[in-house]
Amino acid sequence: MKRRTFLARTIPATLAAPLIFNGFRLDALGQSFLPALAMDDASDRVLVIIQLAGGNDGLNTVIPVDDDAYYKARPTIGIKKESALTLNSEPLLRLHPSLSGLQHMFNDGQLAIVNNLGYSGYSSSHFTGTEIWNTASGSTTADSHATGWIARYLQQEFPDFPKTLPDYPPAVQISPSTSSIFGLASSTIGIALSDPKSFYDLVNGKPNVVDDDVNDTFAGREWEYIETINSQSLGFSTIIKDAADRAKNIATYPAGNALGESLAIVARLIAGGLKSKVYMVSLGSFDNHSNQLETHADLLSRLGNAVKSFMDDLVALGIHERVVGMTYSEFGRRVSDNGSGTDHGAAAPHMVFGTPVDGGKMFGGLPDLQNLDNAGNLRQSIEFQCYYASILAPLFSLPDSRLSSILPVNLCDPTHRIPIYKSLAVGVSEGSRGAAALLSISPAPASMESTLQYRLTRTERVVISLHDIGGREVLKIDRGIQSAGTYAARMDISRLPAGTYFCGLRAGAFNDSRPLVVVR
Amino acid sequence: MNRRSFLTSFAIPGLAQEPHGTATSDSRDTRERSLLSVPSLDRYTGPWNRATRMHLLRRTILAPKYSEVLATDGMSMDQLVDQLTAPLADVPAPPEYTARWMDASSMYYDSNRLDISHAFRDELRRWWSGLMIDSPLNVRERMALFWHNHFACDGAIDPDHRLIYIQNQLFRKFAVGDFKQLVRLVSVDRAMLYYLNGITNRADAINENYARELQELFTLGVMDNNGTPNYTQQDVREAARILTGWSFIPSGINDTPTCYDYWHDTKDKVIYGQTIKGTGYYGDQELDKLIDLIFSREQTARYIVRKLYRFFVYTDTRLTPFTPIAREIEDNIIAPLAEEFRSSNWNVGAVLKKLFLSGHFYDRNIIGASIKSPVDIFVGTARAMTTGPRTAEELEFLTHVLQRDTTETGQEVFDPPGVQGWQFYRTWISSTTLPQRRFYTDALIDGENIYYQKVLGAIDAAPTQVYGHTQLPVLPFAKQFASFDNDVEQLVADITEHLLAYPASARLKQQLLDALLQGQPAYEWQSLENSLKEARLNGMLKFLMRSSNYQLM
Repeated sequence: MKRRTFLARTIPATLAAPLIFNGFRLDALGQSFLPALAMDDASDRVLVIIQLAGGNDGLNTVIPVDDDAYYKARPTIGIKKESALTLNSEPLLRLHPSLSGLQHMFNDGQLAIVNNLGYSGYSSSHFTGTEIWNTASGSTTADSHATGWIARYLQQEFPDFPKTLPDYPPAVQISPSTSSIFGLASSTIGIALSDPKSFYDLVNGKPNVVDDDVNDTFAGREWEYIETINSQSLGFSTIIKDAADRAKNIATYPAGNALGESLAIVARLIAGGLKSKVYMVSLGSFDNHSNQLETHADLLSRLGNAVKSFMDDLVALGIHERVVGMTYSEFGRRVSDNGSGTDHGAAAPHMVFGTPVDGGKMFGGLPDLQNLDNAGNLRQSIEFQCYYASILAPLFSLPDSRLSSILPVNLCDPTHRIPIYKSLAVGVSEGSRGAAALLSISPAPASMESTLQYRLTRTERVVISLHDIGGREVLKIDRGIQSAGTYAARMDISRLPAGTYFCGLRAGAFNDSRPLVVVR
Repeated sequence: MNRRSFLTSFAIPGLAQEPHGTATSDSRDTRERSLLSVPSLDRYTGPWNRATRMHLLRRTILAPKYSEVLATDGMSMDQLVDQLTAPLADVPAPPEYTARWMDASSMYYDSNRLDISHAFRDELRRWWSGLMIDSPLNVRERMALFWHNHFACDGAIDPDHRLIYIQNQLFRKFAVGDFKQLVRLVSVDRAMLYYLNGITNRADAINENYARELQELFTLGVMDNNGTPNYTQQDVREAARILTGWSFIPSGINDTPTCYDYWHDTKDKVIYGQTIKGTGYYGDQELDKLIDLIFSREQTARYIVRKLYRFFVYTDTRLTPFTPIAREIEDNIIAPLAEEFRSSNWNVGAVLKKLFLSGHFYDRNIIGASIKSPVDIFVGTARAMTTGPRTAEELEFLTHVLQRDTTETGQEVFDPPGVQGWQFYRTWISSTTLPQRRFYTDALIDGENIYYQKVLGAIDAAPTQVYGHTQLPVLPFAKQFASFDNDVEQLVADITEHLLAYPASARLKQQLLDALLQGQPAYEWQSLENSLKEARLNGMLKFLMRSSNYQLM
């Protein structure tokens, strides 16, 4: 397999080893946790995107319980103040009664609400609206030339994809097919799978036919597309299954909840060491034109229970410091109900969750039911592209020079971004830095074996690895989940060529590494 | 993993070389332009041979049986196109269980017996697959599928599961008929009234759901080819008001939906800048006027013709009306076909006929350029390998696995993913569905034991377990070819010609030949026992169906 080219870009190969090491630290946008040369490339953070397909009714999700206009507009489907769930810091808003899981997360500071998200000249079409949110190109029509906004970010990370495949899929979607959020000009950067085991079995059970005869016709172009997808599934099936096999879910997920099942797979893949940067799952049927009270309550309880279990699992697995989740939907719904449901609307609230999130806060202000547009829809206070930028840029340490070719930053200059994170902007939280300590590596230099000593201050998943100067991982010891204490890990280096290596310790979100010289 | 050499040795249009944001649409369009000779609706004048006939058959009746290939060998282009696009008088009879339900008088809904509703739809899916496999040389079943996707409707949402069957027969009846009349009928079709909330759309509680999709998805489309919106939110609102009051008393299978005056909005409506006078309680007249207005707009014909083009010819979603290459197709194919559509009073058959006689339809860019849908690949495989009549039981077992295969790979008939229907084209192929497709074509060739729940006897009887076995007839299929006995190289050529629209490379043919010969010299083929030949044909056909070529038609 070809070495990922972006590593070659980030590591100036002409520098001497210790300088590279230090230089890398300094170069990495001032984030003190950054470490471990090539251990996790620029970052091992993960974004999990939850799509609420069909147009979620924001007003019945985050309810303005003290606004009479809300109850006036929704005589049949308005949620009563006394049955809605309170939010500690936001007395004017309450959550839908089915969202107790999210209520706890909000009050515990793990979840933030971003209200009144939308865009000018919005579309009321499911299909067009979804394309606009998926591409975030700044256009208000479904431009089929536009690529997905996540695809544009990942293409910066993997500029040769799919010509050169990285050793893990850049993005994974738990679904039979991939969303246009991952769409490249002529391919997709996301891998779709329903579950890792059957994906592996399907791909590897029988030989796959490959051919190399291409016609320069429309037909030939479609043929190439299929061959590309074939190569991707062949290439990634083993690493995905290995990651899924390495970890087990710790939290209990709700039974019969497909979203929960999907998120359980995501947690396992992250904990098992799959380095994909973006995951996507979805929950459908939010198009509640009728019978909304019952249907929407069921959907939101699925959403809330699944997300709460996922968050609990992330914490139990010790990967919560580097995972952030977000929701989106093609539109909100009409302020006035239609007797038993709601028609297509515009602006709506969405949620961001995770340990790095400055939770328990609401951004974007209250919905203004006195100032609706001509169609009777809510106006946005925050452009959705700004929501994306505020989540993506700090999470993956993207300077505006990079962000500007991913999202239309003219819609969202840095001063307008939402301060969603409490810790990411200055590096990962103090808490995780104290979670572990790399005590010593001895002997060093070494030739046959060397022992790394480390201390944990709480339960974390521990991985030790050795990288050569080119960033290649040459040794990896997965210690599994360990409780607080002092440990020693012996590394067999007898077969490594002489040279300078970097020995990395990772415990949950904690990362550190030191050079180790191997002599012969 | 080794990256396939074809990706590095061959410059792939639009793939990877252009980081996002640097490729202008101009450069891409220039490249695409070179791929296509000027598209034209002028009559096809090239060679009329088996390859062109098979292309026409694959796109209209799914993959042809070998007997059909032989039967059409002597037909002229006009004869074959006439036969394929002619309206059929007979309506296929419902399957057994459905027929019994259709005789029952009252509406049926029992939330505790959803198994009955499932059994009903499962039987319909088997029945429809069977109709596709044994269809005459006519486009009807494929057009019924087109309408099912166009007026996407979820069969599970009906309180009465029979309504989706009634709607399905409507699509068959209007397969190549009057589209305007079809829109009028679908607007008050009972399954649709349920699915898009027509029955709750009342003067005091306007529900925009159907009114929006009627314009966005069923007739006008969101915008014209210059990017101008075809309707406004106001038009959606007014159309919804016009459509208020339509409902029916759920008392019997033959109820006719009526516009109930006390639910109908009787005031004037203004749509597309024109006033439809409130007619008091004559909501049906207002509906007629609404349909007239929609069909008086140029974009309706364009939108439907574009959709037919994508279904029957080529589906690249990048061919939006905004690019030069799309404009060529728009100006030279879509526009004149739309004119034909209007002047023929919305006769779908007339449009298809013109398309299937055109030089553009037989362009070498187009042959093999359509990515097979799950129905195309699985029902098509069963069809292409059908060698004679099946017993009712054999057909049931076969269609049972076909409905599973299509569902698992993303096309559950009677349960489209949303009102926008299936998106076709590359959405069919993902890193999950591609290996799944191969897994299930393997299973069709290898055969499998099956068991499932089936409701027999009385209409509300408990389901019983059915056990069976199904396998495609590999040996009889191969024996149809004269080369079977003693010319193995010709046999490979015959089978690839029959099964592949995107032609096999020399290398693929060699691999298929290797699968048959297993290292032995070619002359050994004729002395092999039939059982050995069958085993090797099994492997060879699975290999062929695993190729990317087989995903295309």
